[in-house]
Amino acid sequence: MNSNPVAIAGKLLNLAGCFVYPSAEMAEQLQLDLTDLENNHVRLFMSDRGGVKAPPYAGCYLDSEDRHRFMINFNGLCLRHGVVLGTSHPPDHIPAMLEALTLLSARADDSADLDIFILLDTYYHHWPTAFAAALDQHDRTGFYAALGAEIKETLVALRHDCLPQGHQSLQSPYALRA
Amino acid sequence: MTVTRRKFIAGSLAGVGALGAGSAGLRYVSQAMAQPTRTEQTRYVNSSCNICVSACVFRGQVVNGVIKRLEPEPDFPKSRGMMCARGNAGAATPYDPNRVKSPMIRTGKRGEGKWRKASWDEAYRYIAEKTNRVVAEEGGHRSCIAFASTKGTFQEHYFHQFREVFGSPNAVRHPTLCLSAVIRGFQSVFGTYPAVDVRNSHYLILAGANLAEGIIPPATIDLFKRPIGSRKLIYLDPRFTKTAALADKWLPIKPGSDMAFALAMMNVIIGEGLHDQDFIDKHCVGFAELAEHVRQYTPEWAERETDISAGDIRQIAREFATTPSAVFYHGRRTTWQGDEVQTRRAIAMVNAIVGAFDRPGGLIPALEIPLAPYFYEPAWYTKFRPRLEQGDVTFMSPGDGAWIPWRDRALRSDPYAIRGLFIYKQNVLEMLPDRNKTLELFAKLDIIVCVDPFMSGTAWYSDVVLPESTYLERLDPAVALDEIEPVVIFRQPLIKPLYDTKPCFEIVSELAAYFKDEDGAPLSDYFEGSVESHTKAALADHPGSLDKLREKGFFSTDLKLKFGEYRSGKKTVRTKTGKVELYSEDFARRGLEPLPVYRRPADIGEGKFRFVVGRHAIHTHSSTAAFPDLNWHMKENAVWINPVSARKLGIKTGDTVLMKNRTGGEVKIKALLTEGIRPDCLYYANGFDSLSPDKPLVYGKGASQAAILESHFESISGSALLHETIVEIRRA
Repeated sequence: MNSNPVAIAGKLLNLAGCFVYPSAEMAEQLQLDLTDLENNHVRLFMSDRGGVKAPPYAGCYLDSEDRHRFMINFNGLCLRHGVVLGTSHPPDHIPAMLEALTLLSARADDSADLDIFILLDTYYHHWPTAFAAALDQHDRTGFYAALGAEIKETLVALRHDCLPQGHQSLQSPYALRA
Repeated sequence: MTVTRRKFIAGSLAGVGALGAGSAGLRYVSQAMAQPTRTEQTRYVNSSCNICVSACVFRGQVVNGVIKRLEPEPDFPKSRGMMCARGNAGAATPYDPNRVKSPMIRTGKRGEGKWRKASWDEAYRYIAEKTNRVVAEEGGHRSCIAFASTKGTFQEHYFHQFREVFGSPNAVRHPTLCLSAVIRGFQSVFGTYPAVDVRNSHYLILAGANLAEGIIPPATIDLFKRPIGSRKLIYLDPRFTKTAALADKWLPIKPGSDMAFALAMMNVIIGEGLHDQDFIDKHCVGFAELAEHVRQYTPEWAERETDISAGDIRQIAREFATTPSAVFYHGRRTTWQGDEVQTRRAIAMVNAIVGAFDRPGGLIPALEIPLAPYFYEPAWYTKFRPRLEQGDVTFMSPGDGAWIPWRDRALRSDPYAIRGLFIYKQNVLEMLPDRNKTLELFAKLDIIVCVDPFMSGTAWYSDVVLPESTYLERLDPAVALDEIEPVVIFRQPLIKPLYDTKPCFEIVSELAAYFKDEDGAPLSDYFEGSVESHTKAALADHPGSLDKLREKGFFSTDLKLKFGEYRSGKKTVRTKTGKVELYSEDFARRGLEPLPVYRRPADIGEGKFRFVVGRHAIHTHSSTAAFPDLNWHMKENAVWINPVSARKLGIKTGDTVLMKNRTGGEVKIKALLTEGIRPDCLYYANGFDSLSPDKPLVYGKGASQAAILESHFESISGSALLHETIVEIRRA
C-alpha cells in the first residue's frame, strides 16, 4: 500500500465510528439538533416509510442472490485471517467491514493468500457508489451524505494505491463470483 | 444547519468517529483468540419453521456463521420429508434490512413513521409509566389493558402469562379469525376436533378446504402425492383453486350453502339405507331425530340452494356411503358465512352416519405426547371485571376471546373502556376484517405496544415496538404436536440474535419488573427460570429427549395410533353422553338448535357481489407477501371477476376498479377476468397493501382484504364471518 497505513487505518476506524447511534456529544460536535440527527439515523439505517433509505449492509447494494454469497464469503475470509465480526449485525455491516479492513490490511503484508487488491476489488468495490448515492439522496443533515462520499473516495483511493503492477486502470480484473 | 463535506473532512470525521471508541478503536470486530480456521465452516442445526403453524422441522445449513438455506428433515414424520417454498424463504428473514433492530418509541403521530431508538430500560419505563397511569385512572381495574396474540410461536404462552399476572381477562387471539367454528362444530358431535387419515382414504370431499394452497399439513402431502386414480376427490368451492385443478370433480357451490349440501347427502344416505347402522347403533345417539330432520332436505331442494345438480348430490352421496374409506374433510379456517358451527356439525354428521370414525381413511382423535405442564403462581386481584364480550358468545374460550364482538364493545366502551393494547406478533390491522374499525379503536387507545421482529402495519401504528428475535435466532420450548403420528418439537438458534433483539420470554419477564401486583410485589416474581430450564422441565418424563431434540429437532415415542380403540370401548368419545352426538341435548339446553337447520343466505341484491377470501399457493396469511424470495411470484394482487359479470360492467383484465362494501370500506385494485370464479363472487389474495411503509414490497401494492371485509360474527363460537361481505364494483 502506498498510503500511510497508520493514517488509513485511523481513517477507516473513524468512518466506522460515525455509524454509532447519535448521542448528545455527537450532536454538539456536529452542531446539529440531536432529534434531527436521531431521526435521520433512524430513517437511513433502521426504519422508514418505504423501507430504510440507506441500509448499512453492503450486500443490499448487490443483486439479492449475491448478498447471501457475499456474506458467507466475506465472513469466511475474515475467519481465515483471524478477524471476528461482531454477531449483532449481518457480516456485510459496512462499519464492521471498514474495521475489518484495517485488520485485514495489516495481515496482508504477512499472508501469502491475502491479496489486498483482490480483497478490495471483491468486497469493497461494488457497493460504495450506490451506498453513497443513497445517503446523498436521503440525508437531511449533510453528515451522513459526507460520510458516504468519504467512504467511497477512501476505498477508491485505497484500491488505486493497491493496483497490481501492470494494471493501468481500475477496471476490475476480478469478479465478485470468482 | 447541515454538515458540509469540507467540514466533515476537516473536523467531524476525526471528532465524531472517535467518540466512545475503545483503545484499539474497534467497535464491530475483534481479533480471533484461537487459531484461525483455514476452511469453510459448515454446520447443520435442526429446528422448526415458524412461517406457518405447521412448524415443519428442517435442517438449517449455516456456512461461515450465515444461514445459507433450510433443508427438509427427511425423518420428520409430519412434513413427510418436505420443506415448502414459504419455509425456504424464511432463511432470509434475519437479514432483512427492514427488521426492527432495537426498541423504538414513537415521536410523531401514530402512523406518521417518526421514531427514536430506545434502550430496553427506557422502553420498559415508558410502557409502564403510561400503562400504570391509565390503570390508575380506571380505578385500578387492569382489565382496561387488552392483550392480542397469534398462534405460531412457541413463546406465546409467556405473553399471556404476563397478561394473567398483570390481571387482565381481555385476551384476543386468532382462533375466531380462523378455526373456532369447525372446532366447536366437530367437538359437539365427536367430542374433539379430530385428525383425518387422508393417507388411507380413497374418497374425499373438501368443502372450501383449499389444501393445495393453504398451509401444508400432512393431509396436503398425503392427498396430492397419491397416484391419479388411487383416490377420488370432490371439491366444493366458488373458486377454481389449485385444489380444484387437482380434484376429480369441482363443484362451484353457491357460497353459504355447504350445509344444504351436507343435509341433502344425509337425506340420500339415510333414505336409501346406505348408512352404517351397526356403527350408529353402537356408538351414536340421536339418529332417529336426525333421520326425521333430514327427510325435508331432498337433493332437488338442495339443487336450488347450492347450484349443484340433484343428480350430482345423489351420486356423491352414494359413492361416499359405499366407499369403505370415504371421509368428508372437516376443514381448518372456516370463518365464512351464516350458521358456520351448524354447517360444520352437519359435515361431521355425514361422516358419523357412514361410520367414518376410528377407522382407516376416516376421522380419528389425534394423539399427543404428554409433556409436563408449564407452571407459574397465579396473581390475585380484588378488582376484577369479566372480559368485554363475555355475554356475546355461547361457547366462549376465555383464553382466546372473540375478536369481532370484542372490538365492537371496545369501540363502545361497553361495559367498560379499553385504554391500552399489548400485541404479540398478531398483525391485527392487516388480519381483522374492517380495518377502519380497528384504526378507530387504535385512535381511542392511550398506549399500544407491539412485540414483533418486523415493522408490520400494526407495529407501524403502535407507540412502542419491542423487537423480538426471529425463530432462527432463539430457543423456543418444547411443544407436543397432536397428530396421527404425534411428535414433540422445539426451536434452537441457528445463529446468535442479530441487532438489539430478544426472545419473548426475556421481553415479558423483564417488562414485568416494571409492574407490581396489588400487594406491591414486582410481577417479575411470577417469572422463574429460563426457556432452557422450562424445556428441561417439560421433558422430565422423557429421558434423553433433549439430546434428541438438539440433534434432530423432534422426537417421537412409542405412542402410536391404533384404529378401533373407540369402537372396542377401550377409549370413550369425549362428549357428555360418551357417544357420537347426532342430536345435541347440550345445544338444546343452551337454546341452540340441536340439529342443523338450514337458512338460505340473504339475497345479495342486483349488481352486487359476495366477496370470498381464500389462500394463495405461495403466501401464508399477511406476512409472506413481503418476503423477497416469494414476492416475485406475485408482486401485486388483483380481483378475480367472472367474464360474464365483467362484461356487463365494462371491466377488462388490468383495469383499475373501485370496490365498495356496505360499511364504508373501499379499495382500488386491478381486475383479473377468470372463469375460475362464480359470476356472483369476487376474490383477491391476502397480504397486500400493507399499512406499513416499512414493508416496501407490499406497501401501496394492490389491495388489503382487511380494508374490504365487513365485520360479522356468529354467536355460537364467536367466529368471524368473512363471506358475509357484500360489495359493488366498477371501473375506477
